[in-house]
Amino acid sequence: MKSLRRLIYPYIAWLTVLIIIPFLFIVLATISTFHIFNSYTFRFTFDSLRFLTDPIFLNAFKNSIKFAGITTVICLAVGYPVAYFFANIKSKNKTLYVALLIVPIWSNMIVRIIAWENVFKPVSILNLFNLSFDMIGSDIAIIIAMVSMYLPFMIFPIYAVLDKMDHGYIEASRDLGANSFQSFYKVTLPLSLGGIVSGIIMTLLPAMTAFALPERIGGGTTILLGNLIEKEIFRGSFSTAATVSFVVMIVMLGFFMLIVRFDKEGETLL
Amino acid sequence: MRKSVIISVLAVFVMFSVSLVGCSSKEKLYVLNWGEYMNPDLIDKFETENNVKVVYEEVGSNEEMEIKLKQGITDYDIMIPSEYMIDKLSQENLLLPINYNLLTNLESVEFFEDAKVLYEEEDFGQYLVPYFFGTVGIMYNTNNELVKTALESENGGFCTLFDETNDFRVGLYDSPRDTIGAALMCLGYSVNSNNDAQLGEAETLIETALAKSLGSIRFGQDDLKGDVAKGNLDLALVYSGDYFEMVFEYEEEETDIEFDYFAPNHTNIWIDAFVIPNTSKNTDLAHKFINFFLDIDNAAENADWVGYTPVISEVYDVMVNDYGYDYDHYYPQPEGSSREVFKYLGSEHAQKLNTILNAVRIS
Repeated sequence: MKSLRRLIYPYIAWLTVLIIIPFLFIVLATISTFHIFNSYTFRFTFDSLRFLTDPIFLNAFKNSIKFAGITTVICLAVGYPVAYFFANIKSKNKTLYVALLIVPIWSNMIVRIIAWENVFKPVSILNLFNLSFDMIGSDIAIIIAMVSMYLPFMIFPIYAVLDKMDHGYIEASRDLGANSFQSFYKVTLPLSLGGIVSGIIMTLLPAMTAFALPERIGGGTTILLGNLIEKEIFRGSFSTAATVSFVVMIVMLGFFMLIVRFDKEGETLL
Repeated sequence: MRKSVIISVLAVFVMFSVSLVGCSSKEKLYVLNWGEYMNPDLIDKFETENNVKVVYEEVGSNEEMEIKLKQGITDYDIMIPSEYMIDKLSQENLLLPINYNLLTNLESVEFFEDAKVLYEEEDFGQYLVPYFFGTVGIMYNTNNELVKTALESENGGFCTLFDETNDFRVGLYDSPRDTIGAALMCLGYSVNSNNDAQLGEAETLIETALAKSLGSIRFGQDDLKGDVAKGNLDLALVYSGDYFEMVFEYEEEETDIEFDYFAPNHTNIWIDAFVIPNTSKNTDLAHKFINFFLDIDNAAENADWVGYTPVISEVYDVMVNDYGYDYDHYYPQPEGSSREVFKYLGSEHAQKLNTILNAVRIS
């Protein structure tokens, strides 16, 4: 066993070079004038923290929370029944049906985003059916696209929990006089809570940091945190970009601690 | 333990060695340019003539060029940024003055006077050799005849972009300098205005248009030209180069062209030019490279491939007479028009413009 331990060293090297060092750079850039390309102006400063009160940051933060929140609620409302349905299917083709849910994730996300973008523009394939939308830049367009992107991430953790659940519990609750609603509410739902939390986090986090989707469908007037980071970097303002990234990381860390609390064995983290 | 160190070192080594693939022993010239902005056959020709290797890299924006230069990973010998970036880089002492004596082909060519006056007197004039030039203007879809009428009306031009009463679907450039510049020019001010009152007026103009347009105005970048061509937008703020690109694409696909370009009477001229950054280790070869593209035949072949308006008058004539180009309609500076170039007015000014665009975006 001990001899195998050596195999971990390349991974540690990889992790250090590509994750830990860049992370330290981000932290450093947040609290100083550190600029990876001209270190000669280096000094510690908390100037970039002031960006956190800038209207554009507050707006991006608000937008991120709003769109991620709405998307997550819709995904949960749609995803739970779907997961429940698939978990309770009594067909020998069950695996096939579940696999069909994964198929959309196989195509590249950018391709799917551009597909939505084209559908939301006035001149699109929908013209063949005498339909024409002009929805680029509207909230509803962003939400529709986000839900379609992240729905599978909600369904699978819930499905995983529901599928593994011992049906004996439900039978027991029915034997003890609970009606089907009561047994769902008192037994199935609490037992699937771990899956729900994982699903929420796996939807909420990528939706909050979404970048390409609001970039293509937001029409340049709806800005999320991901877009703000990109804009700041291309403006050459690395420290404000680092500050925003740092805020995003703290939020993510908070959510991750939440998931660990609800799901101690980590079984729902696919 | 030793083995583990070796394995770790190997892992890191593999990562870095990947980036070294493709080295050879010939003298090298590092060129940083925009995408599809130089005929690759001519680069091959230059390589063969001088027995050198040109390491050619492409970027999508002036800012990206700046970042690449400042990274210092590659010691670029030649870059082709636009005028305001040349201004900025020269102010930051990142460029080497051009030694015009080494450019022997300069004797037989003449740059357009109209373009020349715009940079000649500027401090950054000594750092550049012009490559192509054009205007900032409006690309519009010809299916809606009202657009053309509006653009040509007395209060048309750039003001059409901000006139919400027209009910047009408008695309603005997602860049503070260009969009605020268009608003300033609509108001009759200089594109380089640093006057807070004038900038405030520009901000109000864009803000009101956005508020009243109810979503029919949006910001974009490379997608704007395609959207106007397809009819997803009625008009958009673009660079003349964007328009040419779309025309060539449609001609190649043999699709009907239902769009046109309008350059308002008062607009700004973009000039992309060769510069030699101070990272250059091979300035003689860099000058040779620039000189190569000042040769009329080479420049004409290049202009035919790129498709933009050449800045050398002799090449312009060759393009019109021999290649059959019709630039008349797109000549950057027709009689009676007033033209300016963008200047770099310091980081505070850039920050000011950025704040304005951010403010109108979230209002």
